[in-house]
Amino acid sequence: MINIDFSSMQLPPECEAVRREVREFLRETLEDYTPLQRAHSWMGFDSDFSQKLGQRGWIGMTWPKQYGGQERSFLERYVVLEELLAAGAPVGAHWIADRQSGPQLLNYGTESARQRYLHAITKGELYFCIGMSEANAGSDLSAIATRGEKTQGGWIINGAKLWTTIVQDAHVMIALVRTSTAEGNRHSGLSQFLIDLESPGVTRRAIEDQAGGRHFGEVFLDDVFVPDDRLLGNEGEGWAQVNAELSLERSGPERYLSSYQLYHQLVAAVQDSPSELEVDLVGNITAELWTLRQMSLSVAGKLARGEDAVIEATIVKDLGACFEQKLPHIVQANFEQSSHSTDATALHEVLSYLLQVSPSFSLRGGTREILRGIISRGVGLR
Amino acid sequence: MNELTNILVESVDRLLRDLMMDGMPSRNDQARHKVMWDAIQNLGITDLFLTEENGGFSGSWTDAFAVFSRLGYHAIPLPVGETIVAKGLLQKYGMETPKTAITLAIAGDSEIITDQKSQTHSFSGTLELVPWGESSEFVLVQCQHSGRDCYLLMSTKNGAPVNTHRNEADEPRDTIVFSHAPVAQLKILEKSAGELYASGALLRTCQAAGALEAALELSTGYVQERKQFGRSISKFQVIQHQLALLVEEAAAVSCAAQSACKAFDMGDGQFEIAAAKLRSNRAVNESTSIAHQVHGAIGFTKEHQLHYSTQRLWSWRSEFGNDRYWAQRLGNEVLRSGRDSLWPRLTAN
Repeated sequence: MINIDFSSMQLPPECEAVRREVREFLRETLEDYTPLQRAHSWMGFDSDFSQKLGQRGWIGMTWPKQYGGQERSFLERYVVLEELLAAGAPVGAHWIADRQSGPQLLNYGTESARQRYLHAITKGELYFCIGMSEANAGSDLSAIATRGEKTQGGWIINGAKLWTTIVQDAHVMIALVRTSTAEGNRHSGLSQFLIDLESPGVTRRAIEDQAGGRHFGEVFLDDVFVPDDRLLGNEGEGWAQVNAELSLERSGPERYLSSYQLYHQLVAAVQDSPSELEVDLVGNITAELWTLRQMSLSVAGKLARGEDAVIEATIVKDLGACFEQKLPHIVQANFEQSSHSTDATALHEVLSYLLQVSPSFSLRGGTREILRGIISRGVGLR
Repeated sequence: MNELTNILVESVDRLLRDLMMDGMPSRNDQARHKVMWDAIQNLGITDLFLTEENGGFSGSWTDAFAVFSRLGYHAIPLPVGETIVAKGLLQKYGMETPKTAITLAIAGDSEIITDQKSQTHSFSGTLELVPWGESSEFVLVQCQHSGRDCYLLMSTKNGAPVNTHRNEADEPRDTIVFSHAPVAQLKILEKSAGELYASGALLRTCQAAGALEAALELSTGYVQERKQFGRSISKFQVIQHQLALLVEEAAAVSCAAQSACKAFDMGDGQFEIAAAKLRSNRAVNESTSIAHQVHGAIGFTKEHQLHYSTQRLWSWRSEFGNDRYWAQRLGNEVLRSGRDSLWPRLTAN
C-alpha cells in the first residue's frame, strides 16, 4: 500500500490578515523595483530590505519571544513567504538563517549559541550559509573530507567547502564536518559546527555563475578554532540533524515560484491581444502553478500538524523545480513578439535571466536524481 | 469528513473490491452488472449528496472525492458517479430524485416546447456520448430554454439510441435522439447551468486520481516481482526514477482533485475545477506511458488488469473537456482579469 497523502489544506483566517499586511508592505517597499530585480527571487540580496522585514517581525516569526521571535504560527509564516516570493522581494540575505539555521539552533543549539545568534537573525542583521558540498562531496555527502579535531576548549577545523550559497556575504556558516572516521554506516561520524566567518583561518571567494551572478562561492578553513559551545547538537549525529530539516527546506514555496516573475510578465505582455496559443499557454501554466501551490500548502499543513512529510516534500521539490525550470523554455518557444504592441522589454530581460539561471533549480537543495531516489525508497523500491 | 462518511468510504472500498473480485464483467453480462448496481445502491452510495432527511449522507464534495476516487481505482463499469452527481443537482434545484441510475448530458441544438393547456413540456434534441445513456433510466440534461439555462430530466425510454459507442475502456457512450419527448422535470435557472459540466469534469478528475493510484500500485508491485539480469527490475535506478515520476503525477492529480473539491464546497469552484481537470489531463500521457513501459509486454495484454486504469485515463482525458477546452477557459479567465489579479486568484483558497 502506497501511503502518500496530499489532502487539501484550508488556511486559517489569521493567515489572510497577515497576507494583507505583507502585500501592503511590499507594495510600498518595492515600488521602484524592476521586473529583472524581482526575477532574482530568493537569490536577491539586500540587507536593507532584510532589516525592514525584521522590523516588521517577519523573520524568525515562529520562534519563541525570548529569542526575538513572534510566536506566530507555521502557516502564518508560510503565507508571508509566499507573498514575498510572488512579489520577487530580495530575501536572499536572511533566507537561509530564517528557514534552516534558526530552527536548527532552536532544536540543537546550546543556550549561549542561541543567545548569540537568534536575536540578530530576527532583526535581519545576521546572515547564515550552509557548508555542505565540497569538491569531492556533492550528492554523496558521506565523502566529506573537511575534518574537525578535538582540542582544548573546542575544535580545530581544516578543509574547504564549495558551492556555498551567499558564503561571501554571510556572517556564520553551519558546516557539516567529519569528526571521526566512518565505520559501518557511511554517514556516521559527521558533526555540525557554527563557524564565524570572520574567524582567523577562514578565506572566502565568490564564484561567478554563467549569468554573471555571484551568489555562491568557496570557503577555505585552515586551522580554524571553534569553541565547544558552537558544536551544533551531538558529535557524530550531523547527518541525522541535517536530514531532519530537509522537509522544511524542500517543500517551501521557493521550490516552485523561482520563475513566477516570468509568468507575471507573460500575462502582462499578452493580456490585451492574446493569440489562441498564448491563451493555451497561460491556461496550462496556471493549472501547473495552482496545483503546485496546493501541494506545497498541503505539505505545510502536515508540517504544521507535526506530521511526517519527507516524501511529500520531496515530491513537491522535484515537480516544482522541473516546472520552474521548464517555464522559460516554454515561454521562449511560444511567445509571439510581433503580434503585440505592448512593450515586452521586461519579459525579454526576465526570460533571458531565467534561461541562464534555471539549470541550478534542480541542483540546489538536492539534485533531481537524489530526490527521485528518495521518492522511490518511499514507495518501497529501495 | 464526518464519522458517517468515514464509515461509508471504508465500506464502499470493501464492497467495490468484493464486486470486482472476479475481474471486469463482460459487456453483455447484464446479470452481473445488475448484481453490482443493486449492491452499490443498497449501500446508499448513490445517495451520497442527499440530505439525511432524504435518506442520504449529506456528503460534501470533499467526501465525494473519497468515493469517486475509489470508483476510479476499482474501475467500476457503472454510472455510479454520474448518478451521485445528478441526484445532488436534482436535490439542490428542488427537483425530485428518482431511485434509479441517472446519467448526465449536455444538449447541443435542442428545443423545449411548452403545452400551455396542460403546462407540460416536450423536448427535441440529440444528446451525444452520454455515459451509460441506454442503460440509465434517466438523464439529467444541461440545456437552454427561451434564452435561459435550465436543467431537465428525461426518461431515456422516451428517446431513441442511434449510436451505441464505447470509449477506449469499453464504457458505453451512447447518442440518444429525443423527438417531442415528454419532459419528466424542468428547472429554469437564474444563473448558468454550467455547474453540471463542471461537476462532470470534477467527477472525472477524482476518478482519474483513483485510476492513477491503481496504475501506480500495479507498477510498483510488478517491478518488484519481475526479475531480469538476475535481480528484480526495481533494483535498477532507471526503473526507480521512472516510478518516481509516476508517483509525482499521481500525487499531483490527487492533490488537484481534493483541492478543487474543497473549493467547490466553499464557493463556485470554477477556476479550481478548470485547473484540476487540466492538470489531471496533462498527467495522463506521461503516467500511462511509464506504467506500460515498466510492465513490458504483459501489461499490454487483455488478461492483465493494467488497462482497466490506463484505458480509462485515456478516455476520461477527453470527457467533460480535454486539455484544449480547459486551457482556453482557464487562460481566458486569467488574461481577462489581468496581471494584477493573478496572484490574488491563485491564493484565493
